[in-house]
Amino acid sequence: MERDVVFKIFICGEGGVGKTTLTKRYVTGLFDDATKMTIGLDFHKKDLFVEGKRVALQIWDFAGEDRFRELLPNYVKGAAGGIFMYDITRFSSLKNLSEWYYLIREGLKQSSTSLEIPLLMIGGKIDLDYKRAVTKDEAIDAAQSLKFAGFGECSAKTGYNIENIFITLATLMLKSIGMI
Amino acid sequence: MKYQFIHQVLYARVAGTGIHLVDNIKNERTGKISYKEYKIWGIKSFINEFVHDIYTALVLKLPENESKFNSDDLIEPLLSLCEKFNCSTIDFEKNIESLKIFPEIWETMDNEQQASFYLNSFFEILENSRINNYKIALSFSQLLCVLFGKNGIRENEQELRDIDFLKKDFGFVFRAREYVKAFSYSLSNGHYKNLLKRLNQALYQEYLDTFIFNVIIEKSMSREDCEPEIEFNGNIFETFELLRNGTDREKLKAIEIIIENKYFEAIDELEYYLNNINPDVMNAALDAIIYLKEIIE
Repeated sequence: MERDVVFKIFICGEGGVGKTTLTKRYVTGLFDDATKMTIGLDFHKKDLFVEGKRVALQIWDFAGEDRFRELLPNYVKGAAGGIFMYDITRFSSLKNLSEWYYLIREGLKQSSTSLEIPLLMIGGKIDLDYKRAVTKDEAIDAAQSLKFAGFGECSAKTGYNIENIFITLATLMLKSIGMI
Repeated sequence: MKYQFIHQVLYARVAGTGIHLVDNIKNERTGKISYKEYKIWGIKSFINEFVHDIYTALVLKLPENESKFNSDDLIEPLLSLCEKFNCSTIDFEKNIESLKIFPEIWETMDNEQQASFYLNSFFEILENSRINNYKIALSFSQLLCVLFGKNGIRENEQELRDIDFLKKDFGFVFRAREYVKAFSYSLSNGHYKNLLKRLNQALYQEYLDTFIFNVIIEKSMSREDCEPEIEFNGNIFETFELLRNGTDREKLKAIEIIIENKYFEAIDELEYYLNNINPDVMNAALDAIIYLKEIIE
């Protein structure tokens, strides 16, 4: 398929928040309950139509482990958008999101990539709502204070909101480069 | 220094222990790589020596003129390092192949980015080939049996998964131990025998901190966090009932409602809780009494 535009996006957040499961769910439509730890970084691709444009997403799924975090600034070079994930059942995963946020910003700055790229904050594992440790209000406050372009919750298990997240991000990226 | 970016990636990958936030002079917050000072004697000089050794081995085989550098120039010296540190060259090559699974992604990267992927692949092999064989997996499952009970393991799969990622994220001490072992192997002179002993002790302490104390604390905390919000309409009889027969958390909620609704009838009842064993309940009762009495006066 001839694409109108190719976007590099990244997904980051603490280990175990469901980044790889979310990506796999979106890319393959399957929920992989037995997802193993990401080792360093995984690449995925997905083509989609947004507002009549053919968009190719290159999804860079960063591992949450400390030992890979030092490489992040180098990896975000050229990114057009990003998803910061936390786990709604683990408050620490939201708390640590600001560290990820500033580290990524530093990387974008170092690589002369625009700091104004659209970034979304996403709470995963909403199917475990009964174990919720982060309220929506707390998450919205955090998203606003870090100036995220949007906030949402999803479940890779049920598929809730998955498609929507990537379409929203693609739309924001198209807008940011003036294609829509 | 030639190929400074390689040295930077190496040092960050080997010695980095996470990230921290700092505010610069313009009051802008930035994320920086942390290099924690571990109280393990000799670790700092070891890291410098280890990084220098790898850096030198690589740079010696790279073009003299940095502008002629191509990331693929790193593959051969990294394969030699795998052999030197007794790591699988086949696994390293597999890792390299998987990086290029989508050529269009790989080709969009510049030389520095590709180089950092190659270097990271090398360290993954260095760490993971050892992690898989490590005894900690065994000790860990034994610990889980104790914590969750023999039949509890299946019921607590979520906890198991949550802890599983912690195991992989064991941190700097674990990695440092693997680096020392690999480096000692290459030197074959037992030079770092004592450092290895100190690292073993530190690792044992981390093991206790990460898997025993944290798991116990997290278990008790998550139970508390998962308690549903107390729902009742604040009627005075129900409030008294909750104060008398509720859990400590419910007692606190009842005191909150007494204050909100200014239930002066509750003052005598509240005095009874001034001797409560839970200091939170005791303090809340005292605050409520003072508040209500101040209004009356």
